[in-house]
Amino acid sequence: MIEPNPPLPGVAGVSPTSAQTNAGSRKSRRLLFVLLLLLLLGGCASMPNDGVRQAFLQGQPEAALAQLDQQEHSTRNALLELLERGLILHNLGKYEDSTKAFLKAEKKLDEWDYVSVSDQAKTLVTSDWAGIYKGEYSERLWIHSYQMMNYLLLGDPEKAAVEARMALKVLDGHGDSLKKDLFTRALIALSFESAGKYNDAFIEYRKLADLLPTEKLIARELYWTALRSGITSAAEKYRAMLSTSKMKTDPDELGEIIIFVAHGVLPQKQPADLLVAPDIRISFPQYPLVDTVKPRYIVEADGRRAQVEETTTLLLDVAREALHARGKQMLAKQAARASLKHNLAHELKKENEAAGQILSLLFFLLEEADTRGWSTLPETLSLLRIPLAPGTHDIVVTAKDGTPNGRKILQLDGVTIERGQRLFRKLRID
Amino acid sequence: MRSILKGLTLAVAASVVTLTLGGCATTRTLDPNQETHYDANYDFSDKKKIVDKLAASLLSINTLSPEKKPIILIYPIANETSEHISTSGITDDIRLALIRSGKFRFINEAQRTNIQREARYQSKGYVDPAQRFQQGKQLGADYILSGALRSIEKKQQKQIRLTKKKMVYYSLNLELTNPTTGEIAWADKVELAREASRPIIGW
Repeated sequence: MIEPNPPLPGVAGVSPTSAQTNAGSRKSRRLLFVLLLLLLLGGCASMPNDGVRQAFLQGQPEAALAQLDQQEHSTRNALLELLERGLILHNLGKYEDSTKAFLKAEKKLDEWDYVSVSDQAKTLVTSDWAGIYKGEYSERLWIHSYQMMNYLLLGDPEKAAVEARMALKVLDGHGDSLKKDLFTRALIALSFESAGKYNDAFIEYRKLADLLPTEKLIARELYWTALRSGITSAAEKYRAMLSTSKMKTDPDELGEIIIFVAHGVLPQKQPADLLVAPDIRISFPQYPLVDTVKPRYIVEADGRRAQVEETTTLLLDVAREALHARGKQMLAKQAARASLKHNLAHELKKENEAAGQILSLLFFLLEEADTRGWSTLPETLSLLRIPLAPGTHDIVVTAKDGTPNGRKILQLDGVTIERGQRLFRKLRID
Repeated sequence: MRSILKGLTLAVAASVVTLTLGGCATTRTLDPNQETHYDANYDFSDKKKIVDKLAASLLSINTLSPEKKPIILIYPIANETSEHISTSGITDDIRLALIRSGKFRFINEAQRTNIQREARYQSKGYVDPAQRFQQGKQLGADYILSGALRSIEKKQQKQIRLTKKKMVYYSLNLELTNPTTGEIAWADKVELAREASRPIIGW
């Protein structure tokens, strides 16, 4: 039964009885109260780790960690807190602690691997900000990328290989949107190779080769892992490539320095608004259109230009595609939310025009795109592999990233490399 | 209008009830011998099954000259799964079962660094020469025990359904190698396969 509308000023019609008006007004107030309660439960649209990001970008990682410790913990943003913590600890060289934070993040994602009715209800009436942040597909992949780096830097390639298998699961599920992440692909292969899983490494190098302009770029790795896997025909094929490429030295005779370079900072998502009716606004997150500088790295060993194999990912490209892949899901939810909000306000307006208008305005203002994201991620991640003859070397790495003449980013004096040895280092440059 | 209001009121009431009930924490003691699984992933019941089967298999070998009590060196079991599993728990328990049987002897490979450190300390003159342990008297291994834990995981294809199923297969292969000849003197394996489902929708 539809309740009678309260009389509107200046509108002629049959006036309802006083009892009916009171009953309608009570229901309107109750509805408003319930909705306001839900809106309050939903929380507000503020970036959870803004201060942490600022401190980190200003080169104060310890202060950023202190802020994370002090801030109020909420389930909604628990994943983000762990991601920021894991990355900052990685940056500080506290790899063991970093792995712990990322393992907690992996556990949370496993626990949240279902559709929460309460979360859906909250976000349907308010906005996506009210829900638990479960990370973009790209961010879920990069948890494993950072874990692989951590374990390799800790000298535990077996655990790096475990993370590589987890990363492959993410890539299997969302491969199309994440295919530009060459860095993680190379890291997966390297983790398998370092753990002595040569056949797994060969398969992953093959997949990486399909994404590169030419497989000659990783012919050394393909040859080496094919040989170790006993795939002699493939080993011969890539051996032949080595003789024509710049990598002429036999991989069996070399050592290697491997450097993970994080450069710049990933831009954050921004809200984009679409007015579908005067009182209905749809707001969705998007990454800003900015040019990303892909840095190049030059390595000198003992004063001479050294061979370097470089695999770089522009994180913005991958993040943008991962967000785009969620587009249909976001659109369906936006449509459902807009429809529900419109109907609720419309029903309330029938009984109480003023209350309905207030609710409509409230809904309009609260429609805010969820721009939360892992805010300390770099703009690019590069994997530099520098094969070196056994012995003691002085290494200088220079970044060509738009700065005139490049800039020296790493100097390693008197590094001793043994045959077959891999030395891992990491760098973050702004 | 009435139905919308009723629905919203019910939703808020349900939230309050759920939050209240969710806050009641409970603890209970489990029997380690009783098989218990909460999901498809590796757990302590799996470890117990693996240890019991492989220890029994090792104890049943009768080709290793038992009168000599073979000396075994255990190498870490390689974790080739996609889970962070501590395989040292498996080797520790197998070693314990074999030591208790009295049929095998073991070299404590994990303590080698500490033994070296202690030897260096004793040689610096702090310890009474008569009480210093003699170097060059350590046992050599007759056999090396090594292995790998592997898993294969399959998830149900995406389709309209209320639960998602996951099938996990684990296999642990263990082998005993004679370091003198390189011969594999014994090998066995344990296989575990489990399917678990979890709801797609929850509160």
